[in-house]
Amino acid sequence: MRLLAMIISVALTLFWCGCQTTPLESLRDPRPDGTTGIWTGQWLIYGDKLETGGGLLLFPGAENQTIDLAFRHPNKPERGNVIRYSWNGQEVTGQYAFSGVSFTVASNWRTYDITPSKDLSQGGYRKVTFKAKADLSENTSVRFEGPVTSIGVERRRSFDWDSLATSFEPHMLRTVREFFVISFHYNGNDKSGQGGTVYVDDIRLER
Amino acid sequence: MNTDKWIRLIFCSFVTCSSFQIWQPCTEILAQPSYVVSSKTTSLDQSDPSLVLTIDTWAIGKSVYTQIPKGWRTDDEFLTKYFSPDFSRPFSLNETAHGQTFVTRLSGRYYGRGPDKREKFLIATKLKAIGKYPLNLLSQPVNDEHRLSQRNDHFTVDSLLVKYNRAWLSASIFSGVGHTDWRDWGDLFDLFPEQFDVDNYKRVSGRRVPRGAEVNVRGAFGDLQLIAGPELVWGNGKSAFARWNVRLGGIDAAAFYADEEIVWGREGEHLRAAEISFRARPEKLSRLALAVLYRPFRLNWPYTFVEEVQRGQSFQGTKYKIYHARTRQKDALGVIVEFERARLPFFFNVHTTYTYCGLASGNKSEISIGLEKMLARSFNLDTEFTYRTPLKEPNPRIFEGTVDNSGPNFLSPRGPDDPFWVNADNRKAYLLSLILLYDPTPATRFNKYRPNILEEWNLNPLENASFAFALRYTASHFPTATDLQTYVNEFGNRVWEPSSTFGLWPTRRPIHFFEFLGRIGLSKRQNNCLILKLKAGQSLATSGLAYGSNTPREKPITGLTDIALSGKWKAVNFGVEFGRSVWGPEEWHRRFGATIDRRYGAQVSIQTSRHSYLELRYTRYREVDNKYLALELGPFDEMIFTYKFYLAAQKGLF
Repeated sequence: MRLLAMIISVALTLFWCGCQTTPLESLRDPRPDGTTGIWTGQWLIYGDKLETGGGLLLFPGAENQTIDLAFRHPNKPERGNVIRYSWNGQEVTGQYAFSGVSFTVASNWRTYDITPSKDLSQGGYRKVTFKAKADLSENTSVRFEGPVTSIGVERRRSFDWDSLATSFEPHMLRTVREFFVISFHYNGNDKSGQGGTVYVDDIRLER
Repeated sequence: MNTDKWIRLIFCSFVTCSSFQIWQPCTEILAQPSYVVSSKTTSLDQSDPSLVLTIDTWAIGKSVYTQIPKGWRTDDEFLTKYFSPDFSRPFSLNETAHGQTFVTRLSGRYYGRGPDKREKFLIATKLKAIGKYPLNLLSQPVNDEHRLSQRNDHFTVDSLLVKYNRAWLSASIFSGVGHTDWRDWGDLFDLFPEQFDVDNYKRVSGRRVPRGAEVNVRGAFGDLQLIAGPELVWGNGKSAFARWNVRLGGIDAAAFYADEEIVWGREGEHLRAAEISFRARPEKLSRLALAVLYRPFRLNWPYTFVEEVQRGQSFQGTKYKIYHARTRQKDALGVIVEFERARLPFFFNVHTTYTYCGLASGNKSEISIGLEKMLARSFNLDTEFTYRTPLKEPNPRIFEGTVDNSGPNFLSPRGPDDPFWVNADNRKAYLLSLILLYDPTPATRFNKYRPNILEEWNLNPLENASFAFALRYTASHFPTATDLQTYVNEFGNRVWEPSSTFGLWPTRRPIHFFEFLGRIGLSKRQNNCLILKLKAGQSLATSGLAYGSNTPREKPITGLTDIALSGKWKAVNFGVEFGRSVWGPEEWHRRFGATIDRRYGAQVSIQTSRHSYLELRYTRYREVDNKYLALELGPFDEMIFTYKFYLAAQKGLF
């Protein structure tokens, strides 16, 4: 019985000791080991997969849209994976005028507000280049923006694979929350349009 | 009349039938676990019927009362609810809701006549009908009833089994029916993993897993089994497995083959592996096993690895130099050698295992030594030490910019495009486990299913000691990180961690964990007892997503304390528990580093008759330090009153 009491006492002491340690001190942060501190001035945002380290969000809501980040385009098999984003023109969060997808620094919309923005001005980037193809319905246009969301390229008619770019100044990239944004806009007189489908590949930030 | 009303009508009729005991209960059926469609093979006397039809069914009603304290709100997110602070609401939110579910198991068994009276044919299924779902449920909102109610659907099939059985052949088609692994058949590399948590797979993903077909042929040539199906392992793709066991002299020889489609791989890519194993007993008290694996996965495939060098020779000012190589044929080989010897002079039992896996076949070298010693008449000490190291260490993430403002990767931890990885199973580790077992009646083993697992389900119900306990201490040290890992996401699909993560972080020193499981017998005749379960120590999150995140939600390591006392007295079961900084109840909570600051729980259940069962369960979560605010684990109080009625009937024909 004495042995039993001793064992239980030792067990309770061990439990107590186990609870007292500050856990985070038990881990070693490996992040500084891989830090280079340099910026080469090239960032492949999307090649065969998303390389931002963040995620994406559909806006203003996720209804009536589809997105595939690993789509194999049948006419361009040599291109590997491409982004395929589609809207059927129907209601998105109570409106029919627009819908879009944003490739964000945050991993999802829940963490959008609490994820710190990135300062990409240190990279000296001056333009974003990409290849795109769009199948648009009547009165629907597509717009590409980012990482400066006020500067973009808009196309009002369908087009086959085309090289596009937008330009900006490096100092405009001090607080980046979106790397790249694709949005459809409907300008027709009817209540809703037919939407469209856009394919995007090889998105790069360059000097 | 809509479907919902029909279901309520059926429910009321059912309760009425129950009250008047129109159906005769079948206690044998009730004793079976509810989650498995039974495939038990039995034989009957000559006078017994050839065809036996069985139905057993539960009507389950739930009343759920929830309270969310002031300053908090919840938002629906797919099946779960997300908590967030809301200081604009200075009052608590109370809600009450009710739900009804029917679960029915149907089976038909055909037995042979004449000399072979075994069960020849079986068809069994488990069906579920949902009347109403209590939408305010907070303690486990991801479940099948919730999913069905969102789709406005009311019926689902949980499992289906069709089986044909002869002395030399058995064949079955199954869906949502669990299966064991082939370790007992000599599969030392675990090519065919067990899949028993079928309720959980269905609850989380909505799919019946595992699904497939099986053929087993026995004869002079040995024992041959083939299994194939679209999802034999949860989250994996189409796969086929084969096993052949034969006895050669005094040696048990076995051959295994596995072919799995990789859902995250390139188009049509498969992971194929072959294994042969030999098990023998050179003498009565010793056992020797040898297994050789050949897994030619992505051979002649390029890969990168790093070595730590001085700063002048390193890549871009980091401490690493990057190398490139390709996998070769020899990387596909793996070997396991096991040796066990009982009743040695000083130790009661000694066992050791050495594992070597080439890069493509597992990327590790591991040695494990276990010593078992009887300290006193009732005390047993089981010690196990494991040292493991990967052949190639994980790749670090080398990136432009700084930790706080990171740019693109020069190199990322290995992921879906690589031929091998370092993950939780093969990362460098020093693992020590000590188990002290006190059992004054060793004839009735303390653990029922597996030794060294200190969980309530593993306690032997036949244990007849007035007091028995097991105390476990674990020390784990992981000096290096990992590559990226796969996980099953909220839609039940297997996906990779993003390349912006750093894998699991290394530990600076060993982390400690203690577990205690004690059983006090109150009366031997009815198995009345008290069970005390304690857990305390440091516990690591299981995914790299919880380490070094930019958001203040994820906790990579927690120092937890978990105390639970439960008991059984005649028809009453009861329990109370308290947890401090514990992981959330779902598997993904630990993966994503989601903890509960304070968790309180209490439950009491009563078997009121052979047909009815009542349960009252109280759960309370509290946020204390306002750090690591896990989205799904905010503060709430919840009281669930469950009432179950069950009926069973069996009819013999012919």
